[in-house]
Amino acid sequence: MRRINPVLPSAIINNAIEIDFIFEGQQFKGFDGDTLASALSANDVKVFGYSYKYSRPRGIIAPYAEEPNALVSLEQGGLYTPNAKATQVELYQDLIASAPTLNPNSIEKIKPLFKAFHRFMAAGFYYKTFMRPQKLWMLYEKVLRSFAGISKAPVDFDSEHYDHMHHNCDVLVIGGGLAGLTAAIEIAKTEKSVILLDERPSLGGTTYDYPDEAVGSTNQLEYMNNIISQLDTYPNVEILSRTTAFAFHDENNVIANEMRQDHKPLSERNANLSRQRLHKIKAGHVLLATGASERPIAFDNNDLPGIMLSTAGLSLLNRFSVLAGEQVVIFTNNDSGHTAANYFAKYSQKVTLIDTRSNSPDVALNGNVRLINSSVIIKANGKNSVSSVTIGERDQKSNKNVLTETIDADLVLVAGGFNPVVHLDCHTGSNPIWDDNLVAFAPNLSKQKRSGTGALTGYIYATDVINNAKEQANNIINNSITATTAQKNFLNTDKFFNVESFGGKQFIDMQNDVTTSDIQLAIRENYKSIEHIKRYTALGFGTDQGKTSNVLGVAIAAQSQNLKMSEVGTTTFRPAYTPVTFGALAGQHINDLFDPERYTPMQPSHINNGAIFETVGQWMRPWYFPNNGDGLDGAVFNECLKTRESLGVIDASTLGKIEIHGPDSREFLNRVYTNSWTKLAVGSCRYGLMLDENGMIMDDGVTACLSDDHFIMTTTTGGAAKVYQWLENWLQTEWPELEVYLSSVTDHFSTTAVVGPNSRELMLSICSDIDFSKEAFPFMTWRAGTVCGVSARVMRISFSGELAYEINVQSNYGRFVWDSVLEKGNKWSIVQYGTESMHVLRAEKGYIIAGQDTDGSVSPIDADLSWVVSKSKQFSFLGERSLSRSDTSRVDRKQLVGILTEDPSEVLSEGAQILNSNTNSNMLGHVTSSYFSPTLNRSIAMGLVRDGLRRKGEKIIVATAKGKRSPSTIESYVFFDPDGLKMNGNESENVDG
Amino acid sequence: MKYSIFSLLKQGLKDNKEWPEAWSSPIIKSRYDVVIIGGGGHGLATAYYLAKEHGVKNIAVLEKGYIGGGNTARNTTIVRSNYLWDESAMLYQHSLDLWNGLSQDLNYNVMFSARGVYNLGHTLQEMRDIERRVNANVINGITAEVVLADEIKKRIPLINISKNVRYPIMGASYQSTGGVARHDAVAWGFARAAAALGVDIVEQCEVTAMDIDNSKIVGLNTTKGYVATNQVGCVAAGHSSVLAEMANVRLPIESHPLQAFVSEPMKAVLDTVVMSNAVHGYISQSDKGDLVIGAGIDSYNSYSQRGSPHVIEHTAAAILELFPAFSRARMNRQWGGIVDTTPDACPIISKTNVEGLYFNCGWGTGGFKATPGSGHVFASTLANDSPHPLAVPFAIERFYNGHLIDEHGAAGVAH
Amino acid sequence: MHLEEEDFSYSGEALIARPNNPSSISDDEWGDYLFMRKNPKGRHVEQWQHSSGCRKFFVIERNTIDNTIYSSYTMIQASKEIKHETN
Repeated sequence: MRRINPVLPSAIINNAIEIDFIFEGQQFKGFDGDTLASALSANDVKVFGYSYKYSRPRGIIAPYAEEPNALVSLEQGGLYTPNAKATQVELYQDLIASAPTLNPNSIEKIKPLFKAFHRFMAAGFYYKTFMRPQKLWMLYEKVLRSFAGISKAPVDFDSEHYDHMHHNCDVLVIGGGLAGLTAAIEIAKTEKSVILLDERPSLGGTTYDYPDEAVGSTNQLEYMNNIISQLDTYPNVEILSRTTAFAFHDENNVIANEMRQDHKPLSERNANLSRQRLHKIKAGHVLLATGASERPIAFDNNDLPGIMLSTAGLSLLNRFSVLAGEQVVIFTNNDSGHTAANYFAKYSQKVTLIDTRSNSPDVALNGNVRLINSSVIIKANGKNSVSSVTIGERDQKSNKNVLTETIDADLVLVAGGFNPVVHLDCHTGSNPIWDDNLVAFAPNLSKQKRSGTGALTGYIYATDVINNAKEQANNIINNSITATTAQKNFLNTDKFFNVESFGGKQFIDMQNDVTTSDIQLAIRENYKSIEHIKRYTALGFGTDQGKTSNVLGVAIAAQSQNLKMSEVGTTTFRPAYTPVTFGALAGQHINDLFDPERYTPMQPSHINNGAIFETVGQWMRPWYFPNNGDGLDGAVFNECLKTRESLGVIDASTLGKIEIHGPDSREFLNRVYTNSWTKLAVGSCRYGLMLDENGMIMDDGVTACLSDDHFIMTTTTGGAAKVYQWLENWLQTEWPELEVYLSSVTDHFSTTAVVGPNSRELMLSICSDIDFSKEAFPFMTWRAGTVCGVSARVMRISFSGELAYEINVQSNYGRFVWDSVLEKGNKWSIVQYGTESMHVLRAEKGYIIAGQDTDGSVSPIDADLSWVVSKSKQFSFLGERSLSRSDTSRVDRKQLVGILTEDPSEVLSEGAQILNSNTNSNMLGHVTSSYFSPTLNRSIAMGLVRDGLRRKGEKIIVATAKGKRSPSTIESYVFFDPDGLKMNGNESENVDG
Repeated sequence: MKYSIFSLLKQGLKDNKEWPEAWSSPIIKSRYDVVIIGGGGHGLATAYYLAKEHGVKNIAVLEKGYIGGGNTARNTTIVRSNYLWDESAMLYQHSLDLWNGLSQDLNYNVMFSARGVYNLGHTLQEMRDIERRVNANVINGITAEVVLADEIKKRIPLINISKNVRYPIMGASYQSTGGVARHDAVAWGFARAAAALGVDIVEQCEVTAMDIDNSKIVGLNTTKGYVATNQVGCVAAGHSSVLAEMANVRLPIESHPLQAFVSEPMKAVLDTVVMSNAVHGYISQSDKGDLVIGAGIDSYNSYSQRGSPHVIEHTAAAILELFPAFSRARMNRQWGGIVDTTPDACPIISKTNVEGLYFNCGWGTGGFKATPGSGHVFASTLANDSPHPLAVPFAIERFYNGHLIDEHGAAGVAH
Repeated sequence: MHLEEEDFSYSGEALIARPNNPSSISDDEWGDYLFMRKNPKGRHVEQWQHSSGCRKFFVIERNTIDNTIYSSYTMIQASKEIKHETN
């Protein structure tokens, strides 16, 4: 055991509560408060996996989210979690973790076989080979793919759920370390609302790792605990722990993910509680207190387990009471190494401090520490973990090192300086700035209503941090933001990033096995931009997003090209700061809540009546009613025939309905429709065709004149929202002089359409206050009355070619009217039908469906609807001008025609292509609609055919991908009752067109 | 130096210390026969084919940042050619033909991997459109087939074909010859091959003004000085409008954010490309193991290379509709590109009313897959001062005479 | 008060006046009106609708590089206060 007993007072673990857990099939014990990494370290587990490319053993190197190596999979089935960082996994009773690359059955086991080839596998080697023979690339790729990836992907349905929460606050403080807490309490004293986020389970940042740091007469740990207890008393402060701000968007929109359940034993997880919650926070001001993370110094074999960042070692020691090694070597280029040495010297007799600098700072060292100045670790030695380090003396001028001695070591701590955690500041497009004082990239903080404090801006020591946090808090309170960065040298850091190689591998990005020589190779080959280096070598592409490697990579690129750090710059920092589950991103917008389903008021009846539904836009519409187990074809045959013979009914409530009100309504309709509305009488209806400004058919429908200044327009089901917006747009932005008011009333009315020769008889049986005689109530008119006791607008319009009435009632009576019609209609063997039969009936009659027979490239002329296009309107209606352009006015465009197969029983497939002959593959167009017509007892189709209107009667071939060729003839697309006798109830009557 | 297993072995034995530059970075000259503005995949391909197939000797590619740093580096790497209209299908098929054998032609492994592409259909109308497109493709000699839900499930075990979801999968059009390629490698491969033929690739060189005399282009002002030239091809994607403004040329382009994200790398679990218009998302898994996911286009004009978070959230939800198991996978990184959209979702490959000035832009979400084909036909257009036959329908005149090639139905969002 | 972007819909470049007499202009002029757009990198005068709210269209001037919004106008204000540039 590596646990120091008694547990250090600074530690957050509770050794009274023992926790059993399994790692790679083996039982271990840890304590409450441990992470998986700390518990395993306490059990002297050093190897957490093998590396991606070179299959080298790897252990933990970082204290928390920066960890590139120790990736584990957790649990199984619907709770399986891939690629968790062991340093972030909170231990719980019976946790099951595995390290994917340690699994004896994994593909990792064969990677060592490639050892002899490693010298040929430098960065980008795959761009230079595997090209011949061409056919084999997919095979090579398959092998490469099997080597890639870390954890297995989840394959089971997630058994937990996620949600989102929105917040507004005056000040958002990101980071609950000393700086964030101090600032938060200062701001909390005003009336401002404050949200404070911190990614870890307990507030306090790195105070636990440096517990002796003095604040006045006390230490920072006590000081911090005091603030936390005070903060609890402020109702205007909300603290969210285990919550990582991972994305910073424009206008101070910050997105954070809260881990709500992952730390609990499986048996204690609450199924009613989301696993994670995405907080979307809009803040008046954002104060970044995200701290700084340590970077390593590169030297040969720097990836051996047992070598870690000094902050990782200190975190294990002071936060978790784990002494990760006995023989401690600390390699530093700044004062923090000295601080670390003193902490370790309390528990280890032998601490060697190797400092790249020739001068020691003013930090008094513990007597157990042996300081070696002007020196470096040339290389680490050991097989599965570090056993010794070879030291060299550094010639400051030549940067060459002279080998001096080898020191036994089982724990090597590297203190290469600190990188401010600038990520969030960079998400909105500001680049960090290299600061020679800090020897680090500092945040830009140039955006409005944003500032930074603490280690992010270069303040490290507790007193400085507290002072700066108070100052920044006051600036926010007084609304006088001045960006400040510490002016003094940050820990006296030596600008030293890597040791001259002795021929071994120096790892920069451990997760992707990127070495110093890979970066040098990239530059040699002219991949010099830092973005090219990143992309060529994969530097920083890992799940750690290069938190420990990026700055080192920049440094090596700068050295190799003799450039300044600022000239190399950084790659772009992108969300997510740490990875976020897809589940959290989606929140509750999955399954039933992915997109709302819209139903008409008749929906319960449709379900009772066994309807099969079709999705149309957001609506669910009955597709067909499979009575007696009929399939689609049988049901449609029955529905169509019975409707034409006697009586059918369809729910038409989904059609869009827009009320148009105001004295200029007619003029408005004249402008948006192709035909004229000037003379439409009150009580009449008219079919309208709407074009986009490009002259192509956008939508169609019937509009009724309710009174001289009041109309109700119907649109297609799928087009309603678009049409409404389109009309509003013209009215508000182009024609403000028109006094017209629009209102979407789709959901306010429901429509039951009764169709067929007996529809008049039915209407007479359910409505007594309307005169249904042909003279009093002709085709294309509407009448107000009482239907089934409900106030209704009845429109005599038809989408089938039959005598038909559409009964519009207030929505909440819709189902009652529908059910009443079904009951009353029994007398005439009424049949309810769905969209499929509606399509057949309308196709028989040659009515188009905008969006099926037209596709955005079809003009009204193309659709053979010239009769709807007025040539005499004063105002140039929308789209009119486009119709006369040279190409649009060609007469040989693709035009909508009817198509009849030679074999009347053959139903063409919708989407089949049209050819001139079997031997000519030049496509003339395609079949847009195709059905078997029960009424005509033959197949019918509509299609867009080049020059089709002039080719009626000509033979064509209809062709499919599967090689089917169907000889057919071009016809008019009105197949049924072209004179409209049936629609008029077998009475001669003029159709109002 | 020719890349091969032998050069790898030889250089490996020399500790990889003698690899030459993949492309050189020459000092910009004062005059070029042809200048290509934009060092992305399309621009570099144009330069390569100009040098290789048309014998043009004195060519420069001017890139304001680093090569391949725009949309070439920001797309989801999907390659396919199953477009609806003959004009676009032919253009993209030309490109697909070039993708096959591109690694060998360039002597650079661009990792074109024909792992197949599924375009899912979720409604009856989508299935009609799929039938229409597949029929047209096959008759045009383009590989395509309609696959129904059960068969999709057999081939993609993790996909959810349950009928009890909001938009159940009914079927798909499948193009087995489509797939993905390594996006960065395409830019680098073209750059290396073009440089080997003498093309000057000048990075960090931004064009600041165009010198136009009497409606003829005569030179360019750049951040690296003045360059005389009589032929300029603009291949600047989202920045095309900025260049057009310099020449007083009007374009129907709007630049929008288009976002994408990747998961953390995981073991291979998805070996094809799945796209869905209805739910707005598309997904594949890279050779590194990342799930690569494309989102819908953000609605507003922007050059910011970032979009709005709700688009990412919606896309994650869409992916979970298709692959519920990925709920516990994690987004590692998200980014945005600047896509140049046109009113008919088809590119513009065109001369302008400035003599010697040409534009190749407006590829919207189709740019990456078109890279070799776009470069190839644009090179021919520049070399002959007359559009390549495949480029004829894509001239800017169509926005005036109405001869649009409306791919919205086929293209919509998902690529 | 803070409203989500999703409450609004974008409707492109603002203040593109529809030609008064379309039949009298050439195909080229009509094409310019229909399709050609400034698409500037920088300040953009554009039209939005509060589609999940009052449904009013309005105009903002926004920077297309960093999304800074400089000013907003009702349609009436926009037509009076923003200088029309001839297309």
